[in-house]
Amino acid sequence: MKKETSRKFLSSLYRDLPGEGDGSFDVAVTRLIDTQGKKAVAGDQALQSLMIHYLTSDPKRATQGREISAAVAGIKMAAVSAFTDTFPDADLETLIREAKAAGHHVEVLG
Amino acid sequence: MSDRPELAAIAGLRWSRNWRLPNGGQSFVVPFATRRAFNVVFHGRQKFSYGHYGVHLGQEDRLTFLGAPDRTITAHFMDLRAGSPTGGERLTAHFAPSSEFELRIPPGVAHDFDGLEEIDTVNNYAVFLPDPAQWAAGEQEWDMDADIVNVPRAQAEGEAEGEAEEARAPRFRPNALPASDVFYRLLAERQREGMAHLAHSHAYTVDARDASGSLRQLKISERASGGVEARVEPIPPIAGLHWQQLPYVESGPASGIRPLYEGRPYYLVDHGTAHYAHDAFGIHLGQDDHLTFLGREDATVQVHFVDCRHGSDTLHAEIALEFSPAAHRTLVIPRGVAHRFTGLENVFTLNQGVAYLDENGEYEPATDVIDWPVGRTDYPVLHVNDQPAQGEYYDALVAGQQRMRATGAAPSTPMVLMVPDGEGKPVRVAIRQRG
Repeated sequence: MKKETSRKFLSSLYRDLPGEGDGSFDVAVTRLIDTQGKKAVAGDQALQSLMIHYLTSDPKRATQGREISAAVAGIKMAAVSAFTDTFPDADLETLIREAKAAGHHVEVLG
Repeated sequence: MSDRPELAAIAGLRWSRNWRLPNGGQSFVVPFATRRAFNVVFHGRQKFSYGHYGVHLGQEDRLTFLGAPDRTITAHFMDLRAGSPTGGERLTAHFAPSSEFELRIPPGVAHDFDGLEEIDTVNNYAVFLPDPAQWAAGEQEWDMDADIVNVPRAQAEGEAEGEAEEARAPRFRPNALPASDVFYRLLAERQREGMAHLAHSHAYTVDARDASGSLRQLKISERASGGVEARVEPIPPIAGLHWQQLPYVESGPASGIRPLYEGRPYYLVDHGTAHYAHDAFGIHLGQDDHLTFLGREDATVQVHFVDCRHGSDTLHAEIALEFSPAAHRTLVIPRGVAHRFTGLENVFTLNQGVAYLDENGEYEPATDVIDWPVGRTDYPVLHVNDQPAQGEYYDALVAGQQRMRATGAAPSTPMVLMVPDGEGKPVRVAIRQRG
């Protein structure tokens, strides 16, 4: 295993890259290289394989994403019948008008 | 913090307020804006106490206790961190379960609880790693697969000022460096692999002296007596509607730990203690609900399903069920199947839904529920989304939740009604209470 690969492997496990300035990180990387081929970090070859697979996959995937303002997915309130009882058989315009008048935010979804 | 007991006697031990969104009446939604693995811990109905301190070296427990609000949990803590400014301090705290608060216990702080019977716990834990040089050299105390050291309460509580080193409870140097998301993904993979071959309940460590009198640390894994194998139980006649029985790690005769490592964000619904029933059918177009019901095993929940999927072989088939909460099984409701629950008071619902995108590659989860009034039996026929969402979708959802949480926003959940427009065409309208 090349030193740069080992460096990436080890550093990717940490949220904040530790101790690069004091040389301890390079010591860790050197030791990591020494252990490769016989045993991997934490004694788990699978962990290393997964790690390398991750490192060689498209790094852009972590930064892509649509802007989604939604906080929760489809949760029902215990208030629907109270609303429909108040506005029975309302058409779209009536519902919007009455809902806004009652202090609600209304969004037409299509 | 409101009715929470003070924890400042031990550095880093603290309460954190969960992000809760109003859901009508006493009900709240508690989103956990993360894709990290987490645990649900259940304790059974009989008196439950661990009876010894547990200490993690790499894990910060982040515990939300769920149960009847008139219950009292007693927590015992002791700071066993070498070099801690509050090292050796002990603390006992009493509190009621609440979805509003998360108890955060730093690595190296020993903890034990009394009164956990009929309490379920969501552990949204954080992981800390050793110094890299020590880790690479294999010099750390931490065992990733058995990160729990057990210390007898009697030993720790009998510790006196100036006592000889060997008679004292041990001291630890816990990990201090936060793990990355990469590490959490690897950890989830390890859990998935481990649970697929589960033969033992969770490992724990004990100290014992060998024949020469030397102190040795033993890692013990009890063989699982039964457990639950992953299996699907269809709920006829509606195609695709089913229970998933899921594996868990036994921690006692009626208690266990269920790891959830699917990597999708999740949320909890606290339905409160007052009568709670959905007064309309809910129908999703872009989400399969994966619902785990937590709460008293003698509670009874009723649910009524109607298949509203265009093209379904079981279109407009109906089924009504009764069931009790159980942490080790999940109800999977396919999108397009209308559902209406009653009897949810004193029950907590954990949903880790699977999202599907429409033909434009879009999905808006916040308004993906059509509320179909009870009593209207002219059930709709709905086209559902069919493109499974990929990791990027869930990443973006989590990022959006985190941004919203940072602003302090707490929007109420919407009602979505189907009403005719000027030409009689049905239109979905979302209605929210204004903050």
